[in-house]
Amino acid sequence: MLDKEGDEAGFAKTRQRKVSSKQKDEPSGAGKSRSRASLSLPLPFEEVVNRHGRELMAFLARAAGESEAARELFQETFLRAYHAYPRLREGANVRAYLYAIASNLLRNRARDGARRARVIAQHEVPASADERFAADDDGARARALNPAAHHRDLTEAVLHLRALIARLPEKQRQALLMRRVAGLTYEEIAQALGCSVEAARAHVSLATRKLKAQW
Amino acid sequence: MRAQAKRSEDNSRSRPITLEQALSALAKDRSADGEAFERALGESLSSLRRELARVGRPKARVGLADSPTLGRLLVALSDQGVAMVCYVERAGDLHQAILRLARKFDLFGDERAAAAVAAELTRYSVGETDQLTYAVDLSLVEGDFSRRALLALKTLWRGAAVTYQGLAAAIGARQKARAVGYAMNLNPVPIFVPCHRVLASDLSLHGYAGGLARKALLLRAEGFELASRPLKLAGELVWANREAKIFCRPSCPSARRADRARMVFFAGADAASRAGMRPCRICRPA
Repeated sequence: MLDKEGDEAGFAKTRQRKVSSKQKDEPSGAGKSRSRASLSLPLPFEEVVNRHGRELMAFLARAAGESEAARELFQETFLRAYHAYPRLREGANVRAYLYAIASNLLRNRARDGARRARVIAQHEVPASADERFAADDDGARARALNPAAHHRDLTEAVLHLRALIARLPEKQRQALLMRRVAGLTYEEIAQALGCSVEAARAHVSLATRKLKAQW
Repeated sequence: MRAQAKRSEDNSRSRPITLEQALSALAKDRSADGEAFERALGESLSSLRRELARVGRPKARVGLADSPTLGRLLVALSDQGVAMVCYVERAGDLHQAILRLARKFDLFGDERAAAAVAAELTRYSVGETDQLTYAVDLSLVEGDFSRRALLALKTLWRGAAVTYQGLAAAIGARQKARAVGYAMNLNPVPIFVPCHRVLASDLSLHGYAGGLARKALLLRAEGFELASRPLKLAGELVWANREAKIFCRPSCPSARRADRARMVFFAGADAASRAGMRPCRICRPA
């Protein structure tokens, strides 16, 4: 904020200084510095968004199973990460941190969803096949498709896969998607899920085995 | 992958699609809703960027610069002006400074901008220029008291000095000289906000975040003479009453009787006159 001179508490009434903070056109990256010293700044947050936005959305779209939830989780994940960003330790893995937030939000949603489903199930009117097909929901769409077609047609194969993934336990689903869709390392997955690297590997391999068995 | 996509349109396949192929396709977005995904991503990014612009931290350009007179400096500039000048002496200084900056700003590297500020400060520190042209951004100042102290200090003329108690009195808190000391220590923009002009009651230098040598350098550049042991103001000082705007020699009976908390100390009669003070008719210091 610009200080306002001419305060009662001060030494003199002075004229307001013009803002002559000489603005350069484009900030040069720290990497282009001529100084001998190396200044390691945290990445600007917009760069974090640029680097990880697409991959996170791909993850969320598959993990949440439907696009409206994925969009909400996308916003929520990045906004939370943004507010916590200054407190991130130097050298911390931002990507792992991002997925830790996403993972948490997904788990909360799954837990709340289960609670809601129990309530709704008592009142629900069964949807027609058309309605289920039109629904933007992996499980619903898969139920409406020809079950054998996934071996012949890639599009159907992927839809079938999504339905199977939707039925995996939460941690296995997340671990598998982090590995196969987002391309996280096992160390990053471990950080994101809050488990050991061995456990992360186990989640992924168990998930893969289950899918194979049902393929 | 393109070959496989073509094959997917042909329903009579020779080999069944494996789980592995489906997983790869899932990862590469070749699923039925590829376009929908791009749209969702695009809209989500726009929406996120709008929200970040709304709630977000302002940007600051940060860089390290080496001043031949002031040493290594970390400089940060926001759209409002210089937000930080940090004397980088010990290993931890840089880290702490960046943490402090990162809490309030989104940081971008800009060595050139930092060097320009450092160059101006260097010239100032040897008296080559008596003007500092940058505006100042006090976002990093925490606490109302500190903010008031620093804002008041910012109006103190070049060539003038004040005591911790004097500054405290100037903001209506004459008992809080120690708190003023803390506020000076946490000044994020030294020199631009001239905490080097704040001294102990006996006009000794007392302390400075950048070390007493730098404090002495800056005071000399502003026209003060300094004695060595103890390190304090010396020479043809002139005492001024900041409210009455009259300046006296230290020997003036009027000055001796006056409330020291209302005093401001100038390097000489010229400096006092330039600040708009007029000479005392009793001791005639001019």
